[in-house]
Amino acid sequence: MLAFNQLEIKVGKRHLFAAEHLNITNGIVALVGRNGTGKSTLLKTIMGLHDDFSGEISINGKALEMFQPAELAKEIAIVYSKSAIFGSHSGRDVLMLGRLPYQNVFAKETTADRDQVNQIIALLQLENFIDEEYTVLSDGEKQLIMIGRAVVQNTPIILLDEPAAFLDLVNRHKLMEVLQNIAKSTNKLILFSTHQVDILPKVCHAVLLIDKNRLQLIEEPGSFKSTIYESFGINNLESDEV
Amino acid sequence: MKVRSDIPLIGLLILGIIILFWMNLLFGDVRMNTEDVFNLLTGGTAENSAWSYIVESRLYRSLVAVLAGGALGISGLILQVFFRNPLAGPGVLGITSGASLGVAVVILGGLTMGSVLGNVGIILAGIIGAVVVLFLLLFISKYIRNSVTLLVSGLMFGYFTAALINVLFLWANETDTREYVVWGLGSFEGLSSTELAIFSSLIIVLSFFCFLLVKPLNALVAGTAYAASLGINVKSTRLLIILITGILAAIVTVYCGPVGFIGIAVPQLIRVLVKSKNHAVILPAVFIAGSFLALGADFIVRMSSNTLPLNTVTAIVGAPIIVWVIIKMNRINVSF
Amino acid sequence: MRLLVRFSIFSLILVLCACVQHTNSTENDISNQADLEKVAVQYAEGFDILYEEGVIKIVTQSFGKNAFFKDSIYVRLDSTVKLDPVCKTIEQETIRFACQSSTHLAFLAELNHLEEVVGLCGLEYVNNPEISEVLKKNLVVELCMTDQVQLENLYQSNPDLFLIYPFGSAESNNYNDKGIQTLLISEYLEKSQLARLEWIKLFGVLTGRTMEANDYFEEVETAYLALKTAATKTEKTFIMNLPFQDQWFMPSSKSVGVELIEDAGLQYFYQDELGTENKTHSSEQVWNDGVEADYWVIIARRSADYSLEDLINEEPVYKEFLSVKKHQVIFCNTNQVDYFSKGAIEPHVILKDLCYATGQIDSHEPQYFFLLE
Repeated sequence: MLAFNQLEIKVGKRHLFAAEHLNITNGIVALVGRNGTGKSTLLKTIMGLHDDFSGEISINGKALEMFQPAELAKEIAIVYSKSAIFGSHSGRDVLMLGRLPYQNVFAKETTADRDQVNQIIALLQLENFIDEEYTVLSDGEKQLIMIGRAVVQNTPIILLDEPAAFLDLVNRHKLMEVLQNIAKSTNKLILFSTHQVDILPKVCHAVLLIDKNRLQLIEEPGSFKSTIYESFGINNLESDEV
Repeated sequence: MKVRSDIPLIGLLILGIIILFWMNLLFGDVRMNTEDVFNLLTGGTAENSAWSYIVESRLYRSLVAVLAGGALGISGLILQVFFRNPLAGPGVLGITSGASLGVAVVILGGLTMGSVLGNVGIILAGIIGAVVVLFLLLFISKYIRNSVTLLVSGLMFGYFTAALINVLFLWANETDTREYVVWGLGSFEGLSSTELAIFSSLIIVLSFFCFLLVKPLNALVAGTAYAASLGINVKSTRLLIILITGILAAIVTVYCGPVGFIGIAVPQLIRVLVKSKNHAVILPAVFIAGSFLALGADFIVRMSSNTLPLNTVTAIVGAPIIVWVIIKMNRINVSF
Repeated sequence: MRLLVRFSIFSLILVLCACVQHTNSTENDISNQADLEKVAVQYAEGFDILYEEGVIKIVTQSFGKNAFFKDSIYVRLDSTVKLDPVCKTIEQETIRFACQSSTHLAFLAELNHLEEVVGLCGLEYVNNPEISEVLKKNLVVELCMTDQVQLENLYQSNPDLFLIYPFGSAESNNYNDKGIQTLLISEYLEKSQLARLEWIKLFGVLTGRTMEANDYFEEVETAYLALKTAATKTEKTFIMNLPFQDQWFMPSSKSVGVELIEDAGLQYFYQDELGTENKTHSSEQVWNDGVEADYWVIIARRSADYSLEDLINEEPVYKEFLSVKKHQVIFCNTNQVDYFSKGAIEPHVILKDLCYATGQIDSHEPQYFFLLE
């Protein structure tokens, strides 16, 4: 699905991290790393918004540079930790934005678009607040809608940049349930960056770890926690977050 | 379904424009009956040989009002979405001031609207002024994410250019200064047929270009980062937005003077009133509402025998709309 | 606030009225100054000259309903006469003037008193080369760099008397507080050309050239009245001026400018409109009327070779105007002639120009107004 080959990412003169050869398969994958190690930059790079890298990133064997912005929008969707909408859009309107890459120049909504939106509303159980104005919703509801919008975009890859950063404990759990739900019912790669280590074995089938300027893929759920703690130099296994 | 629910509003506005347009042709300081006006419009004659000129002038200024109001409206709408700020508009952001400075340099330099060279020179100067201000704003907005700061910067551009223009006055002679002051009051009146042709073709062409922005604008409500993920080429969109809004605002400013309030009040109002979130609907709705407001304002100006300056009327109509919308939208997060 | 100012001015006037001390001002006293050439005011309503022992009191005041102001100054002829220090007093013949209006300058120039002018508002707009020459030579100070009088420049010019407009009367009060003597000059408010011209007599008193002033006035009056009597009253109508944006400022039917043209035998198109203020007409109103009006009198700044064709180029509808069709556009180019300054004291010349332009006089060299070709 998503593969890195001899990847080396820089920001200005700073070398962030490198990876030899990684192949990430569909399912839920977590991206872990300390602050400033380059998690967001990696996501941005995959989005085609950060050019300062060498090596190759490929999606289903096709190099990232070969995609036009409009084509890439059909491959990758993203959810940021906080999102604001300018206007009095309802949740449904926001979901409909996910159909934009498939619409004509006048952004004409088709019946298919509406069906797709309704389908995702049902899948993610958004019915209760989907017709409320987006800006008055709670952070948890907003985040669910943004995830719904990413699913509506109907891409094989969904990236989430610290999706739980502004959520309370209950909503964090709900978020993970939703991601698992999506992974179960669709065959997507869901890559999310996080600082919650304890949940990883339960949720993910692999973890991407950035540490000591190296990007590595851990594919054995049993060793997620130990590898991460070891790498970060933490002994206390009580700690849930890094 | 949503588009259909906006049809009554748009229909009402179009009907309003037709009525106002006809009233603008029919009423004025010189009383003519409907028959005479109709006769003259279809190429006939009337008892007074000046009447055909009067009807022509009423027709021209109504057309100018329709196009100028529409252009200012969509220019303001695009800027509001692009800067994600309900208080943005060509006037507030200093774009009109930039155009004014360009015009001032040319007019005070002695060139007049009379000649073709003058026309082209003044239009170009206005566009350059407007686009320069937009690029400066863009530059500033890269470093300052706070939208209030952006507005303050725009206002400062306005003050700064106004001050520069005052300095220019020192070198200008009385006639040129007067020409500039008159222009600064704003008016839809006084375009010759050539000027009207240039004015209308530019605005119509650019307005059609705006449809290229439908998808980018739809996406930009979620911010540039999300817009990029939805397949919008943010860089080229930004350039297109700057050119279209800058040129639209500049052309209106060059020919009608710095007309205030329409560019900010109309998009605000329409974004509240229109149910569709698709700019393929919002853009034409804003254009039509801008035309309606401009035509209405000009009707009031004409009913006052032109004693009320246009900007006074647009302020009286526009300022309450802006306050009302701000109160209504106070829940909406203005900042990023 | 304005009311308060007016009231305080009024109070000040009451004090000024009681200025001269220890004088038994009677007819006999005045008759003692038999050698003094006196001024009698015939037409003007805005000023008066009163003769008292050793002094001449000049009073200028408003008339009519639109304004209220009153001012007075004593011109002392005999240095032994004692006046209350609160009174405005000046010594005749030694006065250095600052002028707020170029019309004031025209009066002083006519009385050969230009050398005594030290400050002026609108120095750069003086377009009479001779006057301009003298002012430059004498290093006359520009008082109004902007549209307001600059106090520092006023101090620099150091006048004995500053001649000012009566509007903004609070301001005039200030000058007196700041040690600059002022006199309100409101000649432009007079209702007729001759009344306006008669203010030259006031300038005559100030400059000690009463006789010259009287003579000049009499000469112009005679010439003017003769032309007026000779002019044939016609039914021909006229409109005036050019628009400013879409507004057309037509002078009031009571204005002196209109009266002057009417004295040439024409009838003002808007003579039925009342009020003394200029009235705004929209372009379309004037376009409508221009088709009927026989004459079109324009006072404007235009290039030297301005022609009828240039006029039509400004607005194509003008070719439908009767005046344009009949070549009866009477034009005064203020870029070239000193209409606003010198024109004010030469109404007889202007009247003659108009009579010539309307074909009532066979030969004449036009000074201000001519038919646009």
